[in-house]
Amino acid sequence: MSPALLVVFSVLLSLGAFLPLAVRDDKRRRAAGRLALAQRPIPPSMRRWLWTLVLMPGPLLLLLRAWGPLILWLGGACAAGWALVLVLGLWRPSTAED
Amino acid sequence: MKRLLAIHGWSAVGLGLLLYAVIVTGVASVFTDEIADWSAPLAGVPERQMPAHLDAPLRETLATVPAEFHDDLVAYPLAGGRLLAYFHKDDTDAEGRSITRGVEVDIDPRSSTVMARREGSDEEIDRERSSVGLAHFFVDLHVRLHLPNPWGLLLTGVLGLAMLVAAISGFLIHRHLLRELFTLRWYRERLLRARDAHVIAGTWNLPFAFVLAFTGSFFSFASVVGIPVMAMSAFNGDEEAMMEAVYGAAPSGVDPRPAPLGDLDRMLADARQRSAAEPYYFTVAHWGRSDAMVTVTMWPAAHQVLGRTFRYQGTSGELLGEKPSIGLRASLGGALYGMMAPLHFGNFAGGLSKAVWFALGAASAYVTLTGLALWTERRRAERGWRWLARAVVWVGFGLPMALAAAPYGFFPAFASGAPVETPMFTAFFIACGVSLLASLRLRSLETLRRGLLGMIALLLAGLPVLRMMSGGPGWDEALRSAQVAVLGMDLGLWVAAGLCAWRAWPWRASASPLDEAALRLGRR
Repeated sequence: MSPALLVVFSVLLSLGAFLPLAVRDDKRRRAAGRLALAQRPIPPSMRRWLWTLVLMPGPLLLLLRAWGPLILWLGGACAAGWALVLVLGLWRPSTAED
Repeated sequence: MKRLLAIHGWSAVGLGLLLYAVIVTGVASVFTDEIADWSAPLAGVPERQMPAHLDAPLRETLATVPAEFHDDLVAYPLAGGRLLAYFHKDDTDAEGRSITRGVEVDIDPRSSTVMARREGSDEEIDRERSSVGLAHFFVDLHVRLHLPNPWGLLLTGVLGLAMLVAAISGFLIHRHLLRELFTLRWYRERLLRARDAHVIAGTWNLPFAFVLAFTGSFFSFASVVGIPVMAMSAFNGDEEAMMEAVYGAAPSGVDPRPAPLGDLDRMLADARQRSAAEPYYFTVAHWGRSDAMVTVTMWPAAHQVLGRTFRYQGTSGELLGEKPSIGLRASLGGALYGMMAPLHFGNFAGGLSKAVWFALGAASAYVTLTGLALWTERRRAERGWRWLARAVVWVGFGLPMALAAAPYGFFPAFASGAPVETPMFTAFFIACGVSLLASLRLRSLETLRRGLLGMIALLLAGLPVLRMMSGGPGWDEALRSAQVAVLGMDLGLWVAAGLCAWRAWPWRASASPLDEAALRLGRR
């Protein structure tokens, strides 16, 4: 697989696991008000699985000795996570506390 | 905790605006090759790459170069696909500093003819190398803030350390790092929003900020402090002996008898085949002598971060072996040293790694600016801090405006064949002056911010037009010859101009913490 595809898949995998973690994050739900509170929190075991999924590309890329994609995944996942939080932050729940 | 917060704040506020300047120009410098290809493209040359046949043109050029400069040659692809070849020797200037002196040529890969020729010391030649003038303007601003050596490097080294202190202290004072990883409350009160935006960007960017600050400080201090101190303490001040010990002396010994150099094209082809990558640059030591040696450094192959370096016996073209970045045997220290450059420049995987480094660099700039805005917002009751708030808006938006203005000096000068340095600086300082005047005259910081953003949008939008009007290729020609940098930069500039125009829109409600801080202070 080409390095670019490897990086894209790795970042998408981490981003895919970030999404439920971010949407149903405890602190974020409390801050967002009642609408978000209606969603159930993620059970701790599920949360652990999701974090494992977030970090999974790291050891896989290490095993493949794909050093370039490994560093790019680290940087790309951080940038993608930041972008995800910015986008989710734009959503203003209709029942927000303020 | 209060002390840590004070260290975090003051380390950033003390040098924050200069640090912001270094980061913003660093973000632009990620695309330094693309900026050079975009600003000085060659018609019909698709991309920057080492030409397959350069042995003949280099031999023809060598015949025109004084014999004293045959000692060393370094060659690499330059802006728009030109091949740069610098024949030189080590020398000292009037003040006893180590320099190089020689003849440098740009070779057109289409016709193998010499396009430009420069002679003199490395500093003199560097000033005349106009094809990369625009790219070097950004890089020099990033590396040394255009200050003379060693002061510029020392200052940027200190700025790197300040960034390191701010990153580490920020990590220590933020106790709920993971718990607040996804908490961004745009819809809450202004101070909380500003704090969230700063913390979130800082948290996600923390590993990268640490790496950038460390490697940046390393590069700044290595040449002005590290090398002289090491040479002084272990080599009685002999820097040349130290460099030979660190980087590895020539293995073939000294043999000054005349002998013709082997086929360079064959050696480069061999290095290509062994590494499955393209040559980054190569050097020839003692061309025309029996002890000639050719060293070829490659770009990293797919999946790799470090490129390989091969050494060839110059006359026979026989491979002598692979050369680690430090010393003669591979070591962990050498590998770590080798990692410094790719980790700082983000150029190890082409456009993909550059895009990631650009995004993370932009996050660092955002963290610096929002941190300064947050600091001044919290102290808005004190008169003295209002001036810093004004300076934050001036530098925060005036610097990008001045950077966008610099090409307006470059293109007309480059098109007419005149030196580009003075016009670029003139355009840059005019823009700095205009933004300073606006900062002093406009009462409302919100109006100032929007005005500067509007100016950035106008300047960026005009750049592709200016490039074409100055003799650069149109889009059809760029498409035909696959000049990706030209098309990509033009489109990227227009997208950036659109984003700035959107942020500057007069009837758009303020949304970001920076907008809010400016609005609040502007109403006072």
